[in-house]
Amino acid sequence: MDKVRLLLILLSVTITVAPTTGVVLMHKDNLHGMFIPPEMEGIQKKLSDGSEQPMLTPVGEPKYNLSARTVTQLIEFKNPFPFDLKVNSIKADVECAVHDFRLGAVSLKEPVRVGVNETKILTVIITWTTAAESHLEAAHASEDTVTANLAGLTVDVNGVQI
Amino acid sequence: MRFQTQCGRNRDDGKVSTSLAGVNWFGFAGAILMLMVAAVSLLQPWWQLTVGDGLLQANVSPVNTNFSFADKAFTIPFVWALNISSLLMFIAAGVAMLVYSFAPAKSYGKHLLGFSYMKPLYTLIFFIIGLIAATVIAQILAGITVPLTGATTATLPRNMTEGATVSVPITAAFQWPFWLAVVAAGLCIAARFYHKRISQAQSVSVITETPKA
Repeated sequence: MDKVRLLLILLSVTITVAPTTGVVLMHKDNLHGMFIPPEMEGIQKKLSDGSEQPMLTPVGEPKYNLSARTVTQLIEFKNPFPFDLKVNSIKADVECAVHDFRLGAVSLKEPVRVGVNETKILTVIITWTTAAESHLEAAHASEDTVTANLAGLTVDVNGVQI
Repeated sequence: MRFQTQCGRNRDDGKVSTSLAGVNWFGFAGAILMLMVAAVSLLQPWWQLTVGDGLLQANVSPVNTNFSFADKAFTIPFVWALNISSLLMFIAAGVAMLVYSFAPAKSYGKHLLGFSYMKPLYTLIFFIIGLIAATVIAQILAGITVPLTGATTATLPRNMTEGATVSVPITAAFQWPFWLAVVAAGLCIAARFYHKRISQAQSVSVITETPKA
């Protein structure tokens, strides 16, 4: 039964060689495309050229709620990427720029999904503490404005923390 | 004069009588599982890697490998060709093992067994080597530790993120078709060990009277 053996060897060789040869012939003008598909190349190009960055623009005046000790600020967010984004959270501490004193925290009211080339409004809430009020009264009583820094800013987009 | 012949080598008329007792059941079960693995692997990966909230997903199996980045699915043509080879090989080996399992004592049975019994094991070995190689390459080229199984949070190198700290949750796990393939490989190897025993047990006596001179 050498014929069976020969047939099986022939089958093995054909199965192993034919698909790869077919793909090589299909991509003979662009062998690079065999390993990096056009979809991936498009995304890679758009991400690497860096010409389009996410746009964050404050919208309107911040709304203060003195009893709740919060400031609500709307921010317009434009997604320039070729894929949908889901902004899950924004977290940061607000610190007094002069004394590095923690005044409060920043958070995102709710997760927002932003499609390709879409613009959505993010609702950012800044909460200040009673200790912050005491600090402002003690250290900045005579000042009209106090400069604050965002410390440890973390944005969670599609599960990736930046 | 009396002589014995094995089932499948009946010298009198060339015909073979196969009873259920002569079936290599390990081979039969292995063949069915091989064909099942080939079918289910088209839909379900052997190994899955998820980065972020589905930002990047890799569905990897020897017969079907695809990726999705932010819900955009794509395949790599060269990997696709290798997958087609593996799929056809798996089907061919499954069919060969199935035919063999019902005719283990036939002269071509040994060839069919030889062709098919190691295929699932080789596929598993090359699959695992491929995965390990891919994780090592990711570690060397991008400095990202990708687990073979389990969850971790990888921090991207700062030169890739313009100085920002970017942490990416990564989860990876072997899926049930992988374990089904492990069982199929085990059964096919068991079929090879069982081959000798079954061919001996299946011996039948053919008693021929020598004509008197």
